[in-house]
Amino acid sequence: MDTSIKSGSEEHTVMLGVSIGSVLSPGDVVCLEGELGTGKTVLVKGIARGLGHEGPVTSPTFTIIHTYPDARLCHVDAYRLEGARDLVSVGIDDFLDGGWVCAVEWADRVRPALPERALRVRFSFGPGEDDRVLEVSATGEWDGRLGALLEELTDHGR
Amino acid sequence: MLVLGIETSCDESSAALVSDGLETLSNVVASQVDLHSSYGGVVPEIAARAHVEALIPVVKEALEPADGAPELVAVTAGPGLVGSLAVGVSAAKGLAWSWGVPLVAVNHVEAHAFAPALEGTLPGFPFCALVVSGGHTLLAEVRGYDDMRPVGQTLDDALGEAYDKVAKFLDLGYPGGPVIDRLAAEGDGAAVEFPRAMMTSGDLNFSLSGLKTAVIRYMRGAGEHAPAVADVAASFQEAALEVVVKKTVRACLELGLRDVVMGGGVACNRRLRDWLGEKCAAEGINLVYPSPELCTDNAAMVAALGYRLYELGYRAALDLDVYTNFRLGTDH
Repeated sequence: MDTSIKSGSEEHTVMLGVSIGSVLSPGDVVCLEGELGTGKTVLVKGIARGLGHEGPVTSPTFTIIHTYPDARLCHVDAYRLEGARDLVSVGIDDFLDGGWVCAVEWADRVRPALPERALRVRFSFGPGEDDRVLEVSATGEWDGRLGALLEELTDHGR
Repeated sequence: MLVLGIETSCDESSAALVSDGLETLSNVVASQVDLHSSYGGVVPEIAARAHVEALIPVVKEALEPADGAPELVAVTAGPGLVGSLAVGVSAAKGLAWSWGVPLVAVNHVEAHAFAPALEGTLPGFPFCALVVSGGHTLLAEVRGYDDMRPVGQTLDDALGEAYDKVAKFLDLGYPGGPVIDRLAAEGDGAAVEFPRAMMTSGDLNFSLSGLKTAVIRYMRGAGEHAPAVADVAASFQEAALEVVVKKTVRACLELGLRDVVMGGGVACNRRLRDWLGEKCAAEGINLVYPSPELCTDNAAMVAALGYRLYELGYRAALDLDVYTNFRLGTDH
């Protein structure tokens, strides 16, 4: 079941990311989907902060994978990838071994290379210029962490 | 000293032979742009495979002017695509080992800042470096061949990445830089007022992701009433470059630097060259950028900086590893 959350600004999306990041732990995968400019990288800035990263989080479009060892965060951008095989060839498996949180932008392009258990966030443009809609859902077993997270996100998303 | 340089950090498989860090004897570049253009960017799996196929012939051709084996091998160890970097670094290790000559690791972004050395136009230290490409947007204070300190950088997208993404959204093809530059020359840069992000941030950092989003939002909202694509391209370019030009000049003034070296693929952009040239001239700042073939990725710049680092005593071991994240000055 999808939980729909509205964001009214970039800062708002960052705060939603902080909430998500603070409940994630190594081994978790977040699949981010939605067209250019809907806020995927912005959410990852928040996730990184929620995981304890201080400092900038820049777009990984060019090198595909950025790592933030201080937060055990692996930030992936599949924008330029053709399919799951490409993601495997850049070495994603090294980061799916349970030691890292993986946040994957354009995950729909490479889904077979990612584990079944994942948090999924689908982004779309909202009515106003800065409005975005985030549809959050999850697959696999999340040990009750998910209920609290969705409740918190829904509170922030009003 | 004859130095073989190898560069495979992204699109280009390149090898070059440079004498004493100054004279280019060969600079061979095999570009994969055609392979990638249908995908609107670099596909790493294709990139790594293409490097494997291209590198040996490229190295052979680069070595043609040499009388014997080179005396040093310099290779880009990062930042870039991990699989692509590994191809170049493995080849460099093999060659250095078989020739029995030393190996030096070069940072790709730093190499861009020293490329004018190959044309005799590198200013004396210290100078300001502006590196703008598909993967990097950086202002740095350069105090020596092994002393480059970042003073500003992008907080999200690189400048060339913004060009690529906007070009793809506007269906203009890849790479986005040249096509937008060409189209913008025919357009009205004042047609649409796009945001100049970070202009008043008080620091020397950049943010380009909001501009990309503004272009997308504008086009979606305008629908059939959108202005000519040349006007949109020109308006995007004016917004993107204005911040770069103003912050580069500000960096020089704040740091007391009288020279700027501009490098990276976007340094070929005509509007950027003209605009930055004009603003630098007004402040009495000397702007230097190399020929287009030395702005885009190439191995001659890697050989040139590799030679200087060797002279300073740097050596890389045969267990040299590659790295993908941006960083400066830590990997000689």
